[in-house]
Amino acid sequence: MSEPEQVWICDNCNIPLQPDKVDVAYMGNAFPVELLKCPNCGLVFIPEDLALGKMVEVEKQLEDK
Amino acid sequence: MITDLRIHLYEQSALFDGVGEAIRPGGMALTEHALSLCNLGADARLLDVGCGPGAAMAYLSDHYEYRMFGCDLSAQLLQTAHLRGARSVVQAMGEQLPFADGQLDAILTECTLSVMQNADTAIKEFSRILRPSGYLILNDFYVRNPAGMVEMRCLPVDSCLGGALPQADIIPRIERHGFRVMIWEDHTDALRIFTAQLIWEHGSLQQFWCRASSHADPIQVQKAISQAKPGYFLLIAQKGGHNG
Repeated sequence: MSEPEQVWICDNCNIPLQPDKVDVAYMGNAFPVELLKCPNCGLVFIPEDLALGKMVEVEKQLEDK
Repeated sequence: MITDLRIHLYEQSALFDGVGEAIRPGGMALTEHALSLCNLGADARLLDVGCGPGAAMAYLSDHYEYRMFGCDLSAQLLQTAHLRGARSVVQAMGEQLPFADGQLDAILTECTLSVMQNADTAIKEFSRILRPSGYLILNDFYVRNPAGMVEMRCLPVDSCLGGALPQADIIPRIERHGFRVMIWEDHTDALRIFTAQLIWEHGSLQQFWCRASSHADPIQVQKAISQAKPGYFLLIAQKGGHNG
């Protein structure tokens, strides 16, 4: 049996976050990705494993000249 | 280790989920930028050499009045192009194009010259089918550190990286076949974003290369690429000039 999908609630607006297009920018480079976002205030949720995983990989890539 | 087993990376379109419709750095924004630099009539005849699944053809047909033609070596990709409505597509290699002399106003070759078996023959062929003063619009990988080029060429993956050349070799090669190079622009920033999108989609570049080829060593691939320091360029040339 699969686990029910975790629902994240915006602390400011008390409504569920929803997947949405977000521009990720670093060192003047930006590209669109899909992340959980509050449809009301625009707060974006970045999970820890994402921040410490591929976000670090992307940063290293963009730092590489 | 060098092996005879080769993967055609450009046919692995599922690998490029997340980078947009056009499977190359810069996407349609770079194509539109290039076209804005050319003085083309509204009904100009354009050939997309290496049109793949027809993303650029579909986009340009929707947004411009150009008469679009496409060719690609891959029957698999042409079938996708056909399914999305492209009618004027033909299976052909860049070195032997089924068009009469002087028939076209512009040729787009986006991230494709570097995968052709014989780039010189292809450029000569482009010159043959373009009208006088017709445009060659070329964007592709180039090598920023020529000392690292040999190792990158030996990788068992058929991609634009393997055929990338230094800038100093590309411009004379184009001009040798009767073109005058009008514009060279560096778009390596677009390559950085493209690579970042691949990392985002696959978790890391190592994972991407693992999925791209079961017999390529991802560490060897990454090492070869980082030594050659690939960049991305846009070149616009016009037929006629020094030699033509």
